Amino acid sequence: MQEHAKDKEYAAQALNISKYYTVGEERVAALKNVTVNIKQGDFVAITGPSGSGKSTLLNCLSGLDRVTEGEVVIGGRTITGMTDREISRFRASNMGFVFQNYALLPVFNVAENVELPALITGVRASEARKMAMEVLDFVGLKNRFNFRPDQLSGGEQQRVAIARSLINRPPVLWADEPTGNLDSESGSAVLELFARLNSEHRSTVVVVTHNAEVASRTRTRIRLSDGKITDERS
Amino acid sequence: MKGVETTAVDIALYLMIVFLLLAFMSLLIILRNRFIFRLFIRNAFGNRKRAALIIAGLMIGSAMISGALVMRSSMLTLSSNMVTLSYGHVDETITNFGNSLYGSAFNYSTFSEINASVANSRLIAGLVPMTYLTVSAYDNTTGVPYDELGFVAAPWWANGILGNFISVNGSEVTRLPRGELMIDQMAAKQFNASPGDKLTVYTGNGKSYTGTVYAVVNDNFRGYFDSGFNIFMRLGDSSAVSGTAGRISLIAVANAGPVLEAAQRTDAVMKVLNSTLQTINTKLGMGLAAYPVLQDQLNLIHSEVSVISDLYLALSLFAVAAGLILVAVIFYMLAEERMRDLGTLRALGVTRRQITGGFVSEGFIYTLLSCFAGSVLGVGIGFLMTYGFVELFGSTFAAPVRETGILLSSFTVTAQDVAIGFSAGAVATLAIILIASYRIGRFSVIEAMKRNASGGGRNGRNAKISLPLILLLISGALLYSGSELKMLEPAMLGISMIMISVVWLAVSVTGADYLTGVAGAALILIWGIPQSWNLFPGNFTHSYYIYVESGLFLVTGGILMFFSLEPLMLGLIKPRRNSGGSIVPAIRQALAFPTQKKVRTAASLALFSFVIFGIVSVSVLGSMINQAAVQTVAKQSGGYNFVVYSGNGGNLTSALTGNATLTGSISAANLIYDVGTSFTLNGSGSRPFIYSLVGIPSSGADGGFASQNRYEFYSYLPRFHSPAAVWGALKNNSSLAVIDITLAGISKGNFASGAPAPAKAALGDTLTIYGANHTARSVVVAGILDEFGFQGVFVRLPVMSSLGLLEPAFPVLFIRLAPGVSPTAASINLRRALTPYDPVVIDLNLITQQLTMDIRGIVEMTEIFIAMGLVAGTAGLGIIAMRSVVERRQQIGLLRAIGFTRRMMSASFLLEFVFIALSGSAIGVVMSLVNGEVIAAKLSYVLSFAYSPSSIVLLVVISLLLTVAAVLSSVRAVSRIEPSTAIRYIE
Ligand SMILES: Nc1ncnc2c1ncn2[C@@H]1O[C@H](COP(=O)(O)OP(=O)(O)O)[C@@H](O)[C@H]1O
Ligand SMILES: [Mg+2]
Repeated sequence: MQEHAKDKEYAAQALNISKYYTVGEERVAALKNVTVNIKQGDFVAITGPSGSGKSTLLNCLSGLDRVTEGEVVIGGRTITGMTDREISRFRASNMGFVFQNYALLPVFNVAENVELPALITGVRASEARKMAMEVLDFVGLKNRFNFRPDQLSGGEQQRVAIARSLINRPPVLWADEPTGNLDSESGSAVLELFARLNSEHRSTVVVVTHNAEVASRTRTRIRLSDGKITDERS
Repeated sequence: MKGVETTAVDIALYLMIVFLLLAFMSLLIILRNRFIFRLFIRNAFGNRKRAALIIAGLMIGSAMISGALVMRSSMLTLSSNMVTLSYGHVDETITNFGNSLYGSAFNYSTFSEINASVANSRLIAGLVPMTYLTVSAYDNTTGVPYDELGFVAAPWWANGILGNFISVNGSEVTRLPRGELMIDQMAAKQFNASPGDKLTVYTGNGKSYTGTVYAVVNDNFRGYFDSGFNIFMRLGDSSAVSGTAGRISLIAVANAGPVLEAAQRTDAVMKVLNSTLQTINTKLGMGLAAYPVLQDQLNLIHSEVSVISDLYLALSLFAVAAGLILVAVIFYMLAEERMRDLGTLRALGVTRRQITGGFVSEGFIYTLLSCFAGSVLGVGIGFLMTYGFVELFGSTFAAPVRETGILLSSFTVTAQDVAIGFSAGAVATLAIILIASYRIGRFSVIEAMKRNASGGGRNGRNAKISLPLILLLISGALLYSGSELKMLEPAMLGISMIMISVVWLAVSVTGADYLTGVAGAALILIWGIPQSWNLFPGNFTHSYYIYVESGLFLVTGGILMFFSLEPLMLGLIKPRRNSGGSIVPAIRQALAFPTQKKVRTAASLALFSFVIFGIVSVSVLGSMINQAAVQTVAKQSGGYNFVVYSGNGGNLTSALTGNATLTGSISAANLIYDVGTSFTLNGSGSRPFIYSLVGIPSSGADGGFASQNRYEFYSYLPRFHSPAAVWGALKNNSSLAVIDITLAGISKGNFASGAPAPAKAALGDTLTIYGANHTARSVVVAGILDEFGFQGVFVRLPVMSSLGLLEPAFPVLFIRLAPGVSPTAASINLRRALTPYDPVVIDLNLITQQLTMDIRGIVEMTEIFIAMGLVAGTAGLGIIAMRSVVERRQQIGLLRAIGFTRRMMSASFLLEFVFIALSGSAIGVVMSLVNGEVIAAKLSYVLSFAYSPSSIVLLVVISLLLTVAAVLSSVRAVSRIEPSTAIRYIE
């Protein structure tokens, strides 16, 4: 019981997790016995060289991927005990995602992309559109609502992706190299948004990055190397 | 007939229920995830060209099923209408010592007696006494002669039973002046006759009668009696033509009720008639027999229609299969293309089930549209095919069809035909879509986001081994049950699948891909070498489905071999050094792609090779059957060129010998006599049956039929040492007979389906022949002829005359032309010489030609029908091509950047698809030839291998043109790709 109560103060926990990939005959360890506790309301950077397991860790923590060994706890429950439907529902209403390649749907316009998570959670279409315009306003792209993704610059696309990740006001925001494809100016703007979210909305923000400047602005830094945590400081 | 319709309704109902269930499931999924639905619909119709291709490919199955069904219904209606047209209210006929329409004349009083004894039956509307003869006539007004006319004489009161004559201007013919004639529309057309013309009628008994044409009557069911070309007269006046006053030749029986309904009472009516006739025959020593003419015709023509439509239905299932391969290909490809977006959706919280639902809803829309379009298209196809068949067999039944507009009014579209076409296609498509969508839903989010998932969830190693193991178990079970049941189909299926699963297992374990080629080669060997069937003992049975199975595995073997042969081919096309600007790299590039996307390539190869296999197989079979048919006619003809029937035979021979134009052109003219009478086999206690008695004159200037016919014997009594000895003995011995093979029960031949089956007579059996006036004689079967072209019990003529059967018998003249004489020219001279004797001249050369044309017609129609399946293959390649452009944009841009020209790029792209289409076609063609060889080897006693190269070449060219048309827009898209944009492009 006590442990359960303790879980509640964490947005996500990885308890001694390992992740192996099998490539041909070989077994590659992407994560080796990693334990991470992400506190509610924290602003976390996961850093490390390319191939060190940052993305794998983020994917496992957010329930996008399954671990080989160990346990991941989100929302107070082990995800190994959850069905696909439960994880999906949980993800839709409690998590936002931002990816390096923006991952916008090319057949939808900006507003339609942004309102998608709201529609997934069952919000009425008119309501979802209103919410979408609000978050678009927040990221400064309200006037572009009718553009298609390929009519926007990389930075703008990423801000649309952020707007999309915010629409359900998720307590946790996951971002994998959100500034990786952006010039430094756009990158700073994106980072500014994360900082505001964390301070104004008390959202937990977890950013994977190998950009030192990005990392310097966060409260907690987890450093990975070769699938192991080599440094963790707040 | 009723049974068939009930099952069709049942099938339609079941399919509809299954469809509605699936549709309901799909709708639930759609309604619960409306926004996912919107996304997928947008995806589906974002690319209109592709959507059109998908719908075109998917609709073919439905179109072919409903086409075949609509054709079936229309042909059934048409044939019923035709039969009704032939006999109208006449359901049964009664003749004396004859067949269903012609017999020897008998007294009017016999009619009265029969009429009185059935008068109380409520099943019968009435009996009509008739004289029915074949006659020739000459129109004195227009100067046109014509033979092969029917002369139909019935009392005027018969109109109350058989219906009124309708004149061509639409009014009822209310009276017919004494001594005047009426002719039907078809006869009028032949004579170019109109009312008032003077017509001279010849009956072949040396007499003629000239009368005035009072009216031209419609070919409705009174005027078309039997087959049109009729002359009508009052029975009371007809002795002027027939020469037999107070006698009739036919009694027409009309059952109670409207035409087609009345036909259903035939069985009951036949019972009544048979018992009456038996009494009268016994009393008067006559050979009266009743024939269910209308029902016989209906059954015969309906079974013919069913055979053809069943064949077409089976062939359309084949297109449905092609359609299903296409659905699977399309869906995996759509999934692949959208994998990244799907990954994003999953990351955003969309569940697996919703993704599956999205695909289901998209597929549902495609299915609805395509199956609807398909079943509508099928109505058109059905109509065209019905029309095609009528055109094809125009000589037998199209003339009245065209003239009376029956074709149009017979065209039948029933709701159940369209419903079966729609729901069969829809159920199959939806089922595949549900399975495919479920598998697609199982991808990994992370891999999808990275865009390197191939869709359809990779199987783990366990699945890789367990699937072939399961297959191995199933194949083992098949082999076992095949050996238990002693059936070749499951046994060979088992063996083939064991080979496939063993190789699959080996490939999974060792990763040695070339083993698939070994499996392919093994399949081809096992099925392509007829002797391999001897693996199983000779007591294993099989049906014709074994050849469908062999085709299936031969083509599969070809496809498997393709993948191991392709790298070899690639090795041969080596780029030469210093070949700047050479096209070789482009060719290599084109040929390399198909092996990289194995599933896709295999599917497109299958789409092409199966359809081409089907078409070429039909063509090969057609060639073989045609060859066999021509040989059969030659064999059935007994070495004669013409068979002439005449009511008056005595003078036939002299008419020929006296004719100058024929001098020297005839090498044999043999007269025999033919009459229908009753027989019993081995003792008078056995059931009597009606059959032909053939009387052979013992002598003749030329030696006669006995010494000049070239019929072969199937067998003869061992005490005769040669066929000539059998005939020689028959000429002098009144206790011997020779029978045709039908009566021996060895071949069904063309024995009319409705008549009572004759007994199975064997060598040495005794046949008792019943003649007029209670006479009977017995003969022993001395030989069995290997023919059914001319059926009968052959005896010497004195046997026939002693039975009092010579007078009612028909003389038949067998004519053989001298070597080198043109049958066409001889035919004209022959007819001219014989016209006064009212002949029916059967030209066996013409029959052969007609047969060849009919077979070619059916084969071509069938080919066209299967060829519609090519649409599925072509649409498949078109869709794959579109996908390939998108997929390879970057690669193409890169190649352009390093110096490939626009032309090289598009040439290599086009080449790639032409290569697949060609390879698929080649597999189909080669395997159908191999299969044809196997069929010929297995059925060597009836068929030998034959094929028509020109039609194969034409087919391959057509399939190539279709391919080029389908991929052309993608090829243009390739050539428009700029290096710069391509490199920047991220899919
Ligand atoms: N799907 C996969 N299959 C095999 N190996 C993988 C896969 N995904 C990641 N890896 C391996 O796991 C390790 C960590 O990858 P990743 O977490 O993406 O690193 P980072 O994000 O830090 O660059 C790498 O060595 C990578 O090669
Ligand atoms: Mg990474």
